[in-house]
Amino acid sequence: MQEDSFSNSKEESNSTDLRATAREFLEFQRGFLRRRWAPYYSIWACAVTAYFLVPFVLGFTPFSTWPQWARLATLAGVDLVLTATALAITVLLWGLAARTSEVRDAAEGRLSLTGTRNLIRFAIVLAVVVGSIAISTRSDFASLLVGDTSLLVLSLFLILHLRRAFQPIPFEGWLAAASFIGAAALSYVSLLLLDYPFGHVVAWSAAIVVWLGCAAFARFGARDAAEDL
Amino acid sequence: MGEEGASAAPEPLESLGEQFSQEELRSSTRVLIMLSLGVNRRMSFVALLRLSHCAKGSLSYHLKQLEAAGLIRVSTVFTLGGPRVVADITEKGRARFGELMDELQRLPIDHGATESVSS
Repeated sequence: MQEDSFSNSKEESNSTDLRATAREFLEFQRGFLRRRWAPYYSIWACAVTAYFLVPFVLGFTPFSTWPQWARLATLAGVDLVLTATALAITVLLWGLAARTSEVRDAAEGRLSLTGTRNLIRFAIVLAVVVGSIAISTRSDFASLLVGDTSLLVLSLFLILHLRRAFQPIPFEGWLAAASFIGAAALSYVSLLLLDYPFGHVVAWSAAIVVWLGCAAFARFGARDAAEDL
Repeated sequence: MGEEGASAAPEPLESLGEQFSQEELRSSTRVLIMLSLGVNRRMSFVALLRLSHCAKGSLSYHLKQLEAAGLIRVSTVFTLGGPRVVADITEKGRARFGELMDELQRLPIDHGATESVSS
């Protein structure tokens, strides 16, 4: 009888230990994840540069005298490589965020929504692929509007996954999401109301600078902040 | 519904007791390493030092225990910054991580413990 009660109390102790261990892990994971988001911010800054700024800048160089098929093939090739790299990093990182969220949900006794993960991944890939194809054509306002919309969708997924990974979302995460949404909104206004392409280029240039800043902060600045937690 | 939850409560605790009675997961440090590798798949020795707050020798001992049980694989990889010791989770380790997650999910919620841990 005594042995049973000892055994039960040991198991109770183990359950507290496991929860405490999971919470200890989550505290560490916050700082660890912040650093791992740095490549994400960087690669999307590069991809957006290729989507919007490179063609604009190349328009002032001898590149603009190339045959149209050669220009489109070159730009589409660059877009394809960057988009594939960005998507690979995105899927890896968002998978990491989802697994972290599962541990947090389990530690707090909440139901985890793991079943929706594949659906969200599919939606992300679809949004980015459609958007990048649309941007690659660069033929008219409509294709750029589709591109802007896909990047806006991406930024909404970004907020969703930042929430899953961190709770609360770190400073650089909010900044990155806000700059993307702001750039997409300004870009809409620029395309629909103002003179294209200047406003469009300014909006996305600002977002790119902010994202590179977020990457640098996540990589170097967030380390100290995380260790101070 | 509530009664069902109450009557089912001892079962996960018993199962958890079995998990902890296995040598490789008897230490909370090793459970912490398994949780972290289960989520991150691969971590460097330096990151694991930061995670566990162990001394190097102590961490090496825990990693050896987990590696001997086939739950992780420790290797040296070459990076631009020089050679790095890394630990990867194995298939068996992933299965054990899944079991740990199941146990964690099935544990009865103890708000008192939450407060004491966070404080």
